[in-house]
Amino acid sequence: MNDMKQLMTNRFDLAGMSVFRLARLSALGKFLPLGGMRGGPGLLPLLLLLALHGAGNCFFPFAVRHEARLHRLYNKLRRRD
Amino acid sequence: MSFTKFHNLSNLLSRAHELAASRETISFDLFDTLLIRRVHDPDLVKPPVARLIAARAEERGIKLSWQQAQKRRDVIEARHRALAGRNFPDHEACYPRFMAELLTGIFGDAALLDEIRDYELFLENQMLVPRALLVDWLKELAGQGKRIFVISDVYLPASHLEKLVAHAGFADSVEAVISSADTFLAKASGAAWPMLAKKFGLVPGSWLHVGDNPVSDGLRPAEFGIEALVIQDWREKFRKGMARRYWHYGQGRPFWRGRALQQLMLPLEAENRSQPPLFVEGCNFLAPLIGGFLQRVAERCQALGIRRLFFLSREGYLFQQFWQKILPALFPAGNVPEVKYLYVSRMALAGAACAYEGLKRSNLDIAFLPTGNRDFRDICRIFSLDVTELTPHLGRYKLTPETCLSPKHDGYLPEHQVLFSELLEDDDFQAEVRRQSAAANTALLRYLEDMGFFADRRVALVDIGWLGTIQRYLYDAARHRPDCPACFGFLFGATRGVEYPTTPENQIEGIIYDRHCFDMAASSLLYARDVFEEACRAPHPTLQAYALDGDGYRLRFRETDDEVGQAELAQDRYFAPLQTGILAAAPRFAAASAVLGYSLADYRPWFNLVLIAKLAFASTTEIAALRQKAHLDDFHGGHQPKKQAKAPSGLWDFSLNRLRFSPFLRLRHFLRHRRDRIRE
Repeated sequence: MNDMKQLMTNRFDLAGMSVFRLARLSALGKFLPLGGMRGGPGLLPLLLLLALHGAGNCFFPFAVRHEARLHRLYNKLRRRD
Repeated sequence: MSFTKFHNLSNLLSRAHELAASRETISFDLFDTLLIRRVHDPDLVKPPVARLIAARAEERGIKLSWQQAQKRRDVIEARHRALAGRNFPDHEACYPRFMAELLTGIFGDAALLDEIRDYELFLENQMLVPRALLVDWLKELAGQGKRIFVISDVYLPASHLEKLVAHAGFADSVEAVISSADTFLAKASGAAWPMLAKKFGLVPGSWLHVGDNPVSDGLRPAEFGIEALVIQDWREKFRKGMARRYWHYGQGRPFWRGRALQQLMLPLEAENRSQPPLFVEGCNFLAPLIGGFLQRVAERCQALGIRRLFFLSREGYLFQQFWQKILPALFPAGNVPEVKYLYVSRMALAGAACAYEGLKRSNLDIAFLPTGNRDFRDICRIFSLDVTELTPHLGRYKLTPETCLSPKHDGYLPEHQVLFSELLEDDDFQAEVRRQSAAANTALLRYLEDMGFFADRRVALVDIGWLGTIQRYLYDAARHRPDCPACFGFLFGATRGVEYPTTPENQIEGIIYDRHCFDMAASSLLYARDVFEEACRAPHPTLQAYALDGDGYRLRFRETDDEVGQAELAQDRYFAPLQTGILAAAPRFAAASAVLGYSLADYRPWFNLVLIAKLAFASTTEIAALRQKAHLDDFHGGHQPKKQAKAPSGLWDFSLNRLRFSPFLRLRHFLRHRRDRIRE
């Protein structure tokens, strides 16, 4: 029973088809045509998802505690743009 | 009194345990407290309901798109809220009232209200998951004799919320469920608290409230003197953030739609238990593919006006079970075919197919595809013919039952094929073949009549694949009848190794993979077709023949007490967790797909990547777990072909050591696979 596992990982990712596996295949797809992916995942979404799944367990405890400040900072940066 | 905020559930429960000891009354918010949602936005449940309304409108000849239905609902609800806001502090609305107005405006009456409400609550239940730790604590408190209340600011009245609470399994522990939709007095303005205190005789000083909203569940009860605990769980924020992100990316990039589907399918809370690896593969790999396949089949049947669908044994067994589980969420308006499971097999149908058509060249091409088939004895085994009665006919063309007819075996000469082709044109030979096949054909037709096969002008036949042989033989056996329906075959994968005799009355279509569509990524299916066969196969032996039984018929199944039968039974037991996982994920697939509003065309880019990842670039562990151990194929003869005629080993045939240590093995096979597909 040592090989039992959950369907959803601790990072809220798919067991057996994680975003990291997706990233490796996408990188391979840059050199080798894999087939119909209708545009593929896109670099920015993929990087953001890698960061969120990878570092979410560190980031979200901080983000929730300082949500109001982060929200004010985000609005300030958006207005500046 | 002020309220206390917690950022994780265990800290809240520790504090809550201490406080509850001295409190008589504990109340809970419902949504995002006791029940969490799979989706990030509760409004995503509304479009499927709008689609149901639009479907019912179409049945009545009313022109209304689902977007229009949704917009009307929003306008009516907003007006109700504005009206309520004139007389009450909260701008609340009541679902039965505004839905009745919506339906009356569309249909002239609100007769459909119950159906629409039931569907919306059904979808809500599919999207809601009890928060295990909180619900367990609630039940513990109820057991201690505390007064438990569930209070929610929502447009659903208490009678509707009670159904959600009952589905979640803690209705017995709750004294009352209170909704702002009944009184228009909500927690948000604070008006609900004095109303509840008066109605139920509650004392604020002896009252603890737990919720997720800092104002409704924190500030307002604290103002009334109630101790309030607010949970802002960072794990929930993380989970919902990921769901929202995948949904949002899917709006812009089609690739992410399938991934968004799988994110909403993920089990939560108590559902997310540790499972065997095959169960995980069933849920996360095969279930979405099978769900997309069956959803597409249903849509095609609707488009073609097909009202009768047959799932062909043995893989159709799991397909049928999956189909039953996805219907309530995905096709609430009905308008899907009536389904039945048909006991068929290539071996049983091959013999019955010859009763009117005789032995055809195309059918023999299929018979000689397996490399183990060599001569006329193999043909007789496959088509259930008596070789003794036919030997004199062979003799007239200088052939014997042992004459090699396959170029894959030693002893083959091109003259053998020429002579055999002449034999196929011999009327006496074909008459004897038809005579021998007549009984099986009659038994088959009686069985098909019993199953309602001839009751409609069109039928759908659903099978795993791969050449459409079963449908070919079935159609050949029945086409002579004037009431033979047009057969539309929907295959999981159509490899089309032998040209299918497509006519308007008889056609096949590969849904996940079709060679005619040149989908390179989906062709990864060809790496391990047996995986899908083993995953979907029924736990009953294969059908061997149709036999007459007086005025009726009898289905003769293969015995399971021989070595091959026992190996197959052992394999069934081995793959049982895989099938359990597939079926466990089916309702979650249906609910997620209904909420997202997508279909197979949207999921295909993601499915293509999953097929490549799990088949073409599968890890050694995955191959070891999913690889079939003993695949029964009665079609396959026992002759050994010439060495150069043997099919080259595929990736999934290699030893585990070779898979682990051979450099670039998967890449080399992938390139070879690509080359073969282009050459085809």
